[in-house]
Amino acid sequence: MLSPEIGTLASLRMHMSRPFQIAALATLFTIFSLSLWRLAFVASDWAVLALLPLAAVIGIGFWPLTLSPWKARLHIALRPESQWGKRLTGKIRAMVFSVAFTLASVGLFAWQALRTTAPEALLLALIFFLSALAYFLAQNLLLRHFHQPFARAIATSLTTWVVAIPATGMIAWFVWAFAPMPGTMLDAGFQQALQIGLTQLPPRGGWLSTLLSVPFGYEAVKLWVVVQLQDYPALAWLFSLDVAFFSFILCRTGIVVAQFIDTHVLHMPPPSPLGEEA
Amino acid sequence: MTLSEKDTHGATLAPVQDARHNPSTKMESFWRAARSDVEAEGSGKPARQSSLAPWFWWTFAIMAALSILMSAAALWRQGGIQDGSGSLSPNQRIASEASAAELESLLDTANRSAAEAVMQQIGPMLDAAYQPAYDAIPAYTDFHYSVWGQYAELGTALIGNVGDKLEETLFDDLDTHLESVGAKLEIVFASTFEQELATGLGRTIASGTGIGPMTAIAITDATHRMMVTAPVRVVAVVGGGAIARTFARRIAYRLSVKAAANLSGRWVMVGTGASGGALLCSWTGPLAALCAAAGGIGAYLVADYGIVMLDEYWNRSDFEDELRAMIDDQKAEHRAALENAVLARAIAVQEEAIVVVEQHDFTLRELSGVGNAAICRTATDLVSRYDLMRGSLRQRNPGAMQALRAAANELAGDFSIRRLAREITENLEEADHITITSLVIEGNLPTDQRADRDVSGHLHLNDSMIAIPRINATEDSGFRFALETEVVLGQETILNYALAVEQHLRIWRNLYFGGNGTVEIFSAIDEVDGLEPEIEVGLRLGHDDNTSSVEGLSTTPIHGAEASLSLGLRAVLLPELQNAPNCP
Repeated sequence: MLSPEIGTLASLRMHMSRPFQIAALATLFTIFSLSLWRLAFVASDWAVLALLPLAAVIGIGFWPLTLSPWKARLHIALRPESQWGKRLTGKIRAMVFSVAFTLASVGLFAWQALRTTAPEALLLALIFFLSALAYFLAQNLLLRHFHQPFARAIATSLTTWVVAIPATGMIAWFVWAFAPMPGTMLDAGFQQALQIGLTQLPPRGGWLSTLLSVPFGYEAVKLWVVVQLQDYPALAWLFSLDVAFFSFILCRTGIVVAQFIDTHVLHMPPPSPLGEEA
Repeated sequence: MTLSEKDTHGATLAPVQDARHNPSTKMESFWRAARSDVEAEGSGKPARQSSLAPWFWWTFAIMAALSILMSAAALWRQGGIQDGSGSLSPNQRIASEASAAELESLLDTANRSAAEAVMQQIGPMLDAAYQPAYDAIPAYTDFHYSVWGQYAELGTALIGNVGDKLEETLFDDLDTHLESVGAKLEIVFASTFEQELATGLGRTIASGTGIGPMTAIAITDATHRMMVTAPVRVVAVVGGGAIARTFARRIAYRLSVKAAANLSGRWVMVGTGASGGALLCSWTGPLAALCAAAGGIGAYLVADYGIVMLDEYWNRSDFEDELRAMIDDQKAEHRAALENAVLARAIAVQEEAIVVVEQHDFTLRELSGVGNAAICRTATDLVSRYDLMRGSLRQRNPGAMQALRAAANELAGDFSIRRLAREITENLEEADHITITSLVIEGNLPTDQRADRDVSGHLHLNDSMIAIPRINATEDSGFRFALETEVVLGQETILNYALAVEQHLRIWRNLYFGGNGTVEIFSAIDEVDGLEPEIEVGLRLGHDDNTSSVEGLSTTPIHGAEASLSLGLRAVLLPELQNAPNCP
């Protein structure tokens, strides 16, 4: 039988590797979903099915991140005898935010998955992994000082900003320095630029292509503007920054997916800071 | 036991009393069961184990398996395309753009493979095209070694239709065959180019992917340019008629030589025949003369026939060998012309591919001022150094030339500036060739030997020798030679000169004087700008009394009279650069 000290150490070691496991699992899950989407999209609009698991995970994972802090604040703010507690449950708000974030993140991911090059995809996957990992490390630290759900909420916000800001710079620089832009844009007119952007979609058409024509067309117009105003180099940086703001969504999604896996997949009681079992 | 918040990851909320009285909808109970961050309602029991884990794992496994399977299927289909056994519709491929470097490598490999394939086909195709000519050699030889044939060849040479029989016999369809060779080589080049492109695309792009639309456009553009650039079939080759005329002239010349050589023998036979005929025809009375003449002609023909038979016996194989050798030479000329055409085509296709690649993609860095500033600084430096050399020979000293060449070679791999670098390298090939266009040699002979007598001689400039015509020299003013030359110094900057002068005396034997020197061209040019500077060097002319000719003259005197040598230099004007990047 293990001594309490060894059992505590083993438990601690296991719990220290847990954030890595969760972050890796979250990254792989997202990668498989998006790669399946990309492989299948050229053939059929049914490829959208590949995004449904990711959307479900994001929606389910985002829900408690929105609802729990609201309920905590409501609990503090409302008087115990107030009847408004029956109405102000926060579920509608959480539903709206969850749906909005899920649609935005899945839509952005789907678009980026179709146009990203391999090096850029690697960079984004790394940022995704780091944000998930950093979230757990931050939460473990903040739990010593804050109650739940505030520890989780603060860890989410803090990790997003801490990881996303340098990631924004990295992605912006990468896009500015290495992302290839079609040479035909240099001499293209406005309509021709739009056409060039839309040629990246498969020629079969479909409702998905119609939806995706919006971001692809927007990207092409943006590049056309940068080309026309190439005498103002700052605009090129703005182009890159515009693309890199995606990194904020990326980091938050990494946290959300990791949160889901932690809560619903690899759920286990965490160790107390002093190694004491409950 | 109440669980601590650390155990539940949940809010330390008091159970919401109202929740116990509100009926739960299916969705609410589902969400409650899914959430582990809410305490069990007053029961003190631990949160229920999540039911989503199995769903998650199954989904994860299915997505992973499907991704791997679809990637493998795409790989297999890609392999089918390379084997030609399958086809991949555009809808089944994932768009992936090749980078400019990848595209350039693809096009370069395809171009090289196509050129090599064509080069390998030239020999066999030309052999096949010329084989009928080789096969017809015996037939023509039979014609050549016949009395009628020889007279026909001489006759056609006289009236100007040289080579008709040769063309008809040996080179009847050669023009058609050669055109066919050109067309087939075109097909080989184009098909190999396209096949190599397809193979390269299969290797370069990641498995399960096809080429993106931009890359497809670039490939199509490059292929189209390849099809219309410098086609091999239009290369100018000598046709069968011209070949036949060339051959026939040589054969006719031989015939005329033979005919002249054998003429005496023929006339002997004519005489014998005529006299013999006269004797035999004496019974014919008044017609005896005609009969004798006929006998003479007959004897002439018999003599010719005999000569031809003998000639054939001794020389037929040599004649056939000579014909074969002439055809071999012609075939070799054709081969060289076609190979040069293929090389020219490959170079032209490469130039077109560069244009395509440069239009393929760019980065914002290249477009913006930051990245371009570095390129522009480098380009400006190169252009300014080149422009200095453009119109000034003085600036083309070996050190500066070497430095500029080295800088251009270093930048040959830089995508943004390599066209400029390549253009500079090509233009500088002629830059250091200096031509001496004029010479003025002034001076006088040593005092003791001065006289009002003509002088002549020659001047050596490195390996060139320039004859100096005879001119009049006076005792007081000496001599002045002014010559126009076109001596090319090449890349040498050291000029060794040696002057040999012969004084033409009337009574006594001529006297000989010599002198030499060395000058470094660019040191002599000094501060003179332009492409046609003049330099002046000095030398001493000393008398050499140990020689009797200007060729054996020693040009290294210790003492002597001063003379000067003015050289007019000329350098090629370098063309303006066309490929400098657009910089502010």
